[in-house]
Amino acid sequence: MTLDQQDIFTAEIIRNSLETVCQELSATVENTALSPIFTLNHDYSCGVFCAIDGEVTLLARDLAVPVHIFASLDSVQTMFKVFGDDVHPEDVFLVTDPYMGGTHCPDWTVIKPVFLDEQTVFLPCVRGHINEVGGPLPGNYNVNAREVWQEGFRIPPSASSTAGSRSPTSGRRCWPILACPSRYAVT
Amino acid sequence: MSSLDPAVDRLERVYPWSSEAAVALADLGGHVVAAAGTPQGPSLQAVVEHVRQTFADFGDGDVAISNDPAVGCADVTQLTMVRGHAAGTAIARVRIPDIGGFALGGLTPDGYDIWGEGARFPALRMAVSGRGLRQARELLILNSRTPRLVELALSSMETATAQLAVPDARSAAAAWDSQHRDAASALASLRPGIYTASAAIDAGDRWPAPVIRGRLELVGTLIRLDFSASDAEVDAPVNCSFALTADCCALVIASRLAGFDGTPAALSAVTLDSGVGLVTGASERAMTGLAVVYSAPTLRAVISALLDQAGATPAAAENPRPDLAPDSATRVDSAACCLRVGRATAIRDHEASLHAP
Repeated sequence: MTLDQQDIFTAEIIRNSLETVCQELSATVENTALSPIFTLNHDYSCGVFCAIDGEVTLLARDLAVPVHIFASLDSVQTMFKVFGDDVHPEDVFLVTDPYMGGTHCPDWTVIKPVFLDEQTVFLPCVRGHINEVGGPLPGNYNVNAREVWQEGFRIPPSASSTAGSRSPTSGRRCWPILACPSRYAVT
Repeated sequence: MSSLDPAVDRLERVYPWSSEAAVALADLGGHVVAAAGTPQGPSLQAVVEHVRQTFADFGDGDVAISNDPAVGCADVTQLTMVRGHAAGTAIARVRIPDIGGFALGGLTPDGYDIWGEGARFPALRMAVSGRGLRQARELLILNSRTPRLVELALSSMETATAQLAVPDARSAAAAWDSQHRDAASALASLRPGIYTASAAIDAGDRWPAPVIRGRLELVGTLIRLDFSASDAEVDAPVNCSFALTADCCALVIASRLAGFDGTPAALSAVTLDSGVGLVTGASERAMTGLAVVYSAPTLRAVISALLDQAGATPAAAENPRPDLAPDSATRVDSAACCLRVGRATAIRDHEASLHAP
């Protein structure tokens, strides 16, 4: 067996392993979600990305919504653009705003960097449709909208952690304030 | 002249479009002990209490903002900043032109609930121990069609609250007790009895005209203002928050009764029931955008009628506090000015973005 053939087998094992990770991500999302948009519509996508020399690549994904998972490339890229080197193992990032890495206000992308030897190696990511994110109309589909403010609450790329240069209490307060604008904060 | 007037001047110099700017100081117990600018003492105190309840560790150098009518603001375009000091809390308030929602200005004729009026922040921490939180600032600015004006408003309030000196606890407590006693004895000069008055909010033909029903009880030591018989809140931006109701009560009583200075300490001498889910005590989902224009004058008229029956100084006669003249002109002018400036700024920014390289 040649070295190339060994690499093909190794690559395939690693690829399947990463896809298994994505399947486990999906199973966790579906089993823990309260929103029927997740549990019945399956309007979410899970994938694993990596960033090499500033270039973000999709390594693996589960059965996913194409507009979610491939657009998440831009979300992960935006996360690096906004936070730069201020990325730490305990961080969880949120990217939602359509003009800063998102697609539309209800699609939220959550990214959790995985570190090895103090380097970011993998970026597991989940993007899903949140059924209500504030805004003038329940459900956020405003057919008469002429501006983004008429659609939903806008959230800049955010980090929920206490790491690095962030405040000792900003992480604990991040999620409650993000849920506040929604009419259905529980979901 | 209040010792805080220079702080109001500084606020208005940096952000000149909100003529209803207010500044206040609260002691460590959260009681507002001094205020200047447009009289809004009770609502400012409500915001302080809510911030302290939300952030149990709120302390020196911490800054939070709120624009939620459910916790102390009149409507979503009224931004209140609270800064912790070692001896208490400094508060500043201005009106901003826009915070998202259906339309510029926080007014939503076609809305269903308060989410249509704009983004709401019951309590958003902006700084911890003097260190600013970039994400919180971005969150606020991103949800406004006039981000530069919101940035300017934040800067003006940060400057005003940072430069205020909070009085020590002993003198603050003494001031509170003194104001409360003076208010109680001023109210005791009214004729005992139970009085009722009512008026319908006139907001034109477009919206229903809910009725505000007030009841003033002066029996023995009981002094009670009760609006719980008012109509239920409506699907129109004319619902008064509890805070706005309390502000109106303080304002009218102070303008009609010598010795009652309209501070929260004075108003604490009155048991006030605005009702919940009523047009005088809007629930969390109710729209409030035009309450300062249509409903507050009606509310003040009802309170004034009650005081007339109880024998207070006639409104047309000598006014014990001419600086507290109960009219909505200041707030209407402020809202209109903000809207004008906001619209001009939004149009200019939009045109600039069209021509950007």
